[in-house]
Amino acid sequence: MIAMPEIYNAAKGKGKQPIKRKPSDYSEVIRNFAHAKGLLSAFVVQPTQVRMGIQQSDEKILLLLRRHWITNVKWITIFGLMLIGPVMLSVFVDQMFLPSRFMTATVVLWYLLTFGIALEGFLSWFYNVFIITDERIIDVDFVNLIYKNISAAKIDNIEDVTVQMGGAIRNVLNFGTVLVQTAGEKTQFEFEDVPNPQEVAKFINELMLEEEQEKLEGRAK
Amino acid sequence: MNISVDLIWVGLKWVYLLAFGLYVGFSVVIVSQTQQMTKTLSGGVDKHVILISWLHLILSLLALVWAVVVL
Repeated sequence: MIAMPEIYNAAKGKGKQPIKRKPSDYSEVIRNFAHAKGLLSAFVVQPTQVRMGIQQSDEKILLLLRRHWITNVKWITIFGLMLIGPVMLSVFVDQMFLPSRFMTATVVLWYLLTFGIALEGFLSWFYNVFIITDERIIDVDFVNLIYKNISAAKIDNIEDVTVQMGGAIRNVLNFGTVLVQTAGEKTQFEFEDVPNPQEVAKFINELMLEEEQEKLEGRAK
Repeated sequence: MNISVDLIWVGLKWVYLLAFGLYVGFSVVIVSQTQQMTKTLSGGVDKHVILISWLHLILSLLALVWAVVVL
């Protein structure tokens, strides 16, 4: 019995090419912002503690974005004014005809509402996120605490990335909107008021290039 | 005269109780929403956020009970 000659032997073990490269190998943005890890930050690179409900087992979150902190100024200002409101209005209390028990109830209700506004403002900011994984871009929207919308598109389906930065405040604080056009069901993703929008666009482009490279090298899933 | 004034306070009491009741409803919405949010995106502050939302609900319930007793 003659053994078949071995014409081609695929590399086994040592020489085997990894299925995925590390993001820091192909992304300058990941390398430059590797320090951005703050839990309450608006620009978090490779967050280790964060996990999505719709995340696949081998999917890694590479970038987590929230609106720039300056967008919280509106509700923080309202919260601050409401905190000192009763104190400022106490000057006029003597002129009011309400019995003291009703006055106390008003103040209690007022401060409950103040706390509620602050809580709602924080939750809206903290959980309305834009996530970029090694496979997809994901937009998580909670509107007014009662409406939830999660949209996702594969990196393969991204066609165009645009950055919009207008106004003095946006330029000074370096935040803006990143528009991502896709060939998926949802044709446009808006990452609104995110910090470092140019870096975000650059990172998405790096991911698109890496995805192309994976296909060429046969590493794509 | 006194009867009509009393009626005003009773009416006002029910307006206040309705406001406190509505606020309890809002607090319940916040609790359920924080649970939804933490399921969608879990991170380092989940427990704190859920705890705060429950404390907020308990506080609003206590305020409602207080209003029923005092007003």
